[in-house]
Amino acid sequence: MLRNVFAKTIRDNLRSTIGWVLGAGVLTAWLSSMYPYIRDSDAMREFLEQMPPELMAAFGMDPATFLTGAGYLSGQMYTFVGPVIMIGFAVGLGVGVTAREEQEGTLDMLLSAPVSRSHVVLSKLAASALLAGLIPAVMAAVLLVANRPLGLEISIQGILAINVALWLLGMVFAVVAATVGAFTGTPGAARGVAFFAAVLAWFVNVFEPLFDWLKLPSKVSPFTWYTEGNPMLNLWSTGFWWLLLTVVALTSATVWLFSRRDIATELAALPETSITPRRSKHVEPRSAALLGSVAGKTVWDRRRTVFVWSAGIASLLLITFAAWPAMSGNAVALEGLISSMPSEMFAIFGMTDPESLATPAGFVSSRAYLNMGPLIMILFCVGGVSSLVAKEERTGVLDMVLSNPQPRQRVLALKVIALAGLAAVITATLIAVGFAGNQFWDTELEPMHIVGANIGLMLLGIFFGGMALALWSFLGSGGTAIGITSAFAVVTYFLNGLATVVDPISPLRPLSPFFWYVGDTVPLAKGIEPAYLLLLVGGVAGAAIAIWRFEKRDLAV
Amino acid sequence: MTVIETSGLTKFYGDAPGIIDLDLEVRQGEIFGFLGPNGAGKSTTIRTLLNFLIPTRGSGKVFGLDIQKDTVEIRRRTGYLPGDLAMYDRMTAREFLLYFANLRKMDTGKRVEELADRFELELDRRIKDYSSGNRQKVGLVNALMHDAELLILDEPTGGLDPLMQQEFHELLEEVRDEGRTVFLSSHILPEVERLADRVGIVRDQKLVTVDSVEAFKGLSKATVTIRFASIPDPAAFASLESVTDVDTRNGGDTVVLTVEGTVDAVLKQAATEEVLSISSRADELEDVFLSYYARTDAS
Repeated sequence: MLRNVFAKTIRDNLRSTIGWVLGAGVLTAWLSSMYPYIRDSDAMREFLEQMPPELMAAFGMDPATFLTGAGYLSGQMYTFVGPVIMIGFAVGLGVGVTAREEQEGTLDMLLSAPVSRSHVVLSKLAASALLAGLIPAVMAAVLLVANRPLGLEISIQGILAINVALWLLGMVFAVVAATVGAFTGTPGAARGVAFFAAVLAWFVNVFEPLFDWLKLPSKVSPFTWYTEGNPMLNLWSTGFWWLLLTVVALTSATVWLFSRRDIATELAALPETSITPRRSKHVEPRSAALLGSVAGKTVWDRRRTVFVWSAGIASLLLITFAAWPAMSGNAVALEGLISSMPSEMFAIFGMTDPESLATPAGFVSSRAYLNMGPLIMILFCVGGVSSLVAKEERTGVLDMVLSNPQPRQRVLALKVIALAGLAAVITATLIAVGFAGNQFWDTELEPMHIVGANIGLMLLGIFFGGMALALWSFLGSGGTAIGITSAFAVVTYFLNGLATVVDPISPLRPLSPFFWYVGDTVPLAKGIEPAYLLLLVGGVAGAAIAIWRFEKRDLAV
Repeated sequence: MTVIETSGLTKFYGDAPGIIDLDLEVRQGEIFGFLGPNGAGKSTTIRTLLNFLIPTRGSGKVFGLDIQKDTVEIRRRTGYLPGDLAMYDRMTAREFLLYFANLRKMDTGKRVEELADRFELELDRRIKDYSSGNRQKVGLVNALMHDAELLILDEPTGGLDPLMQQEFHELLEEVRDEGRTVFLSSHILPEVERLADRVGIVRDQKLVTVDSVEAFKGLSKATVTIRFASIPDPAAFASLESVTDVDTRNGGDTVVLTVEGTVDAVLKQAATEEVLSISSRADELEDVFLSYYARTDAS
């Protein structure tokens, strides 16, 4: 495994790959095993015959095929969660192509060996492509095995086509990350731009049916290429070629950019005087106001991230409001239809309150508060735990911080409080945007409901952040803690929806944090719920355990 | 034969200079000391030679090969120790060294064992568990294991204990005796003084001077302290041509003289009175180095 750059890349990522691949495989198996329950629901079959196709399309469903195995899995696995897993994993690999090594300083050592820069990039990208391919490969394997026993009746070609498409979709964003990383040498920038591009592409694709001005941009969205013609049924479409072409083009860009750049320039190593004299005018660094305490420093470290995440999630919310007038044109007709449909139908998409779908609260919730919103908020909170707490221990900075006369527990507590404060900043932004959107597009939501939904969203993030903290304090590894937390989030997300349809798992539903968050009423149709207290208590308890444990263990061993 | 040759080699980071108009020549079989204070441009020079940085202008050749076009071939024949040593922390030293041997398509197993023995380095622990001195040893073994024609070492002895420094110095002398070349960047003067054949001094992004260590020492001054039984006339010493500075101490019975060149005239003048004691300390490279800086500062 140490033969060359390619093999070493495989070796370095082997452990995390096993985690991701197992997760994807188990999830696919679990969701597939639910299929017979969905198919055999009479109510659902009747409903589908009356459902307006536009509405279903807006939720990624095709009325003609929804109750087939292919339709069910396309909607359930391959439109949202599958791409999230695939892109999440692939972007990490893309960041690892050059940016991570450049930041950690090992790139100097690697390039002191007689290997060319393009060789390094191509070897690492090839290894990344292979590793990324394992996720769709294991998903395809599960489907091939489950196909007959569960009566999915998907063609083998269809299984191959959708998984190849998924792999290419992931690789597009992996090479976006690699390209940005090759140009900037900064993992944060590489990861941020790639995720932003992915969210934007998803966004454009999903909202395209509702806005005419999105017609053109959606044609260049990788999500459009990916879903084009529904690969599971219609096999190979031109979208494949666009995905493949993008991967090849961006790979060339990565090689080209990386070969023409200074590696890991050490501006800091230059004497003060020779750096631009402008700098000497600012004796006080801009960060001075925030560097008074551990909490302030945490805020300073995270300032850009908070800005980007707030902006991202706020624009998602805003465009959802803007889409309402287009939806409400059909509101009356929709209401009649929706009232006749089985709630199970929407429940499996996390929409446990389908009657509200024709209302502004239900519509806006379904777009912003049921999948993408929670995803972003949970990633923010869990990611903060990783990059601000666990990473300091791993990189050895913690020794330096704790050499100051501050009790250990206080240091960790301040960091946690600062992170929670930053989640509150995002929440405040969302509330403000919610009020503005509500006013401008006449959605007539209760102000208290807007506040309540966002507080619920924040507490959901805090719950999972606290869980990650507690796990980290026991495991000592940030990566493993985040892996387990993410897996738990995905499972409980599906549990909340599927438990309304699938009897054997329905007793477990009250254990899902998503149940506490959504329950049977969408977030925007209720205020601050008592169940939110469970989220708060869970998050605080997790943090408290971590803070308590922090005093009692050896650091950075 | 020239191993490293640069002409007008210049690197700017945006507006900030890294190294300016470097004309350098390092000959085969010598240990070349590259001296300068922090941030003078030593690492920038090295990283430009290895093509980690693209020169703003000027050119450079290593083994007669162009530093940009033929960088892979240059690196094949060069052993490098980075100044800011970062390694794959989760690998053991043995794995790390095996990986880099594979990237060179060489079998260095025996040589690694030899070097590890000499440096008393245990190879089967994860790099992140090593002390900084042991990490440095791993870096050194990596630079030395393939018996490269040229060694480029950026601050090599940082973190090594005196015993290991000694071992390392002997190793470098062996390397030179085999006709190989060492480019040694350092700010530890006794080390350079002991090892280097020639020294280049960089300051403020420019190469100030290059000369042999002996020549530098030849420039050097001595400090002579003479204690007399009675109080002498300091002016008598000040008037001597070789004396550049006179100081009196101890109520005037002791004179401290800075002497350039021979001390003959000073001794003859001292002998005209009763001398109780005399001591002399020849300046070392360090003093030359510091005076060099003082001189350029004044100018």
